Amino acid sequence: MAVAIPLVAAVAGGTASAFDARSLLLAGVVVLGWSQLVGL
Amino acid sequence: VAGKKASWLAQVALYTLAGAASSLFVGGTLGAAGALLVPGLARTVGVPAVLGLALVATTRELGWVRFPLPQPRRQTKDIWGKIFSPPVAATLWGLDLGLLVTTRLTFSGTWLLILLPLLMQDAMLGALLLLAYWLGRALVIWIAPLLFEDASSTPRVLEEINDHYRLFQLVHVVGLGLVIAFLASSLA
Repeated sequence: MAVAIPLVAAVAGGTASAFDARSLLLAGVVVLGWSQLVGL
Repeated sequence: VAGKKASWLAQVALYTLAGAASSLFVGGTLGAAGALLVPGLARTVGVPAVLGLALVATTRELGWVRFPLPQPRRQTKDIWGKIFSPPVAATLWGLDLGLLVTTRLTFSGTWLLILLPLLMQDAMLGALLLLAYWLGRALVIWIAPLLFEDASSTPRVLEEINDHYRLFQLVHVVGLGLVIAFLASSLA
């Protein structure tokens, strides 16, 4: 779960970026936020 | 049980909304401050500078270079949970963590969230970026019932998460890779 969700976000962002480059950036930022799970 | 669930949902919603509000405020402020401080340099200086920083952050998180991360030492206040009612404490935690710059950053890519709006001088982009970052972070709380079997297992789960520090660091690198891809494509 901890790895699957950011990877899904990464793939979704990569796919959506074909339509809008900013979605790639936003997906990357969501993944960055998710990785802060370790900082709880 | 239904009452407990409703109360938990209300607290998580308050936490998420409060963090979203402070993230939007900080992101918008950073973007607006950038426009005032270095007008007209967004494309020529901002994007390449952030791209360079993103590459440095990636090499750090991959362990190729080592340097201490400039960051606040402060963590949010656990004691709010004892002083205030749960809804108030959840709101305060959300507001505090959503500010981004007042608590520990953990990984270096978080610096991009501060510098990107500033250097790109775009208040709307800044607000959107910090909101996306916050939503990624708050998502953890929304799925907590799937991670935590019960309240008493929380310390064990947190310990397990911290045992997988390297794994989360690599997830962070994946996020950095997406940001780098965007920045590189915007230079092309």
